[in-house]
Amino acid sequence: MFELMTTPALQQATWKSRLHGPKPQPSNLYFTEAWPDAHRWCRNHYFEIKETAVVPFDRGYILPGNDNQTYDLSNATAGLKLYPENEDRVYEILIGLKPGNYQVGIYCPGVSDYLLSLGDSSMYPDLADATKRYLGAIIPDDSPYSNPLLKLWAIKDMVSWQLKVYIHPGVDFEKVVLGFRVATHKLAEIPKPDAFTTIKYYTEIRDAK
Amino acid sequence: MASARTPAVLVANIATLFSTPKVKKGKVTSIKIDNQSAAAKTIYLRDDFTPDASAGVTAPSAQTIAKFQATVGAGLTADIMETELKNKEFLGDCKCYASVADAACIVICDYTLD
Repeated sequence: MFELMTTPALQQATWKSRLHGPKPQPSNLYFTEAWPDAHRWCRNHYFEIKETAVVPFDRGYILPGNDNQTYDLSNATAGLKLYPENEDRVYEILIGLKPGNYQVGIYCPGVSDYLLSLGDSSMYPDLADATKRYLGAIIPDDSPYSNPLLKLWAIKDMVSWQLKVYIHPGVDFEKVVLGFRVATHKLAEIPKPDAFTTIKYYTEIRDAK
Repeated sequence: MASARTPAVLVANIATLFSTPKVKKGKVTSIKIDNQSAAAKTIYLRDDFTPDASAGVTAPSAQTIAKFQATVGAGLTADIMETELKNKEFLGDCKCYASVADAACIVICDYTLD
């Protein structure tokens, strides 16, 4: 699931309060029916988080202006390897961005499969287009490093979340710092609880336009 | 806040004032050039780094970016404060050299890593 939190109350809270965890934190999760067969262990199931550890991990890159690079968050050979390796785990990944002249686009599952677009068939992110390169872009002010508001969820062998970093024109070089706060959750299946957080598959988010 | 110092050296013996960690940016907050030598000196700061691979440049080469220079007369001390150094970010190694090597000309640099 992708989430870019905007509620004022959430923005005022510390980032740790935005994470799930064992009780008394929000601890119940539901994976929708849209999750594919490959993930049948979680599809349409409810879970309670029994254990959590938060793992910080910063990655920095120096990139030239008006250029881009895509970073795969999965455990693929060239990926950043931020995914779990067991089926009873889910990783809740907060991403904060240090200030700079850059933006981040979210793609899934491939490097050309943008997550965020608008209803008109022409309104999708396109770095080759001087206007549409800014469509669906997340800038450091949207999810500050010290107060991250961008959240992705990942499970074992899930399709790749891709962060496409674009350095704005007008600068020779920029340093991009992606601050990951990975909350690793160990799950136990439970009957349907009264309250839970719904974890959507990426197709549900993409199709919401 | 951290601090580094070096005597004036030629570019062939260039001094590294600080190395910026991969996940931070370096910012010079003040520079003091104490030139007690018998002649004026020009001091240079530059940013040395090798970029990461990008879509447009898959095998990037090392970069040296000029960031600052100041000439200080014989027997004088120059204090360059943060307001004049604003926005001078260092992505890699902050290097310092001078027009003429002279142990009587000292450069002191205060910096932060953010």
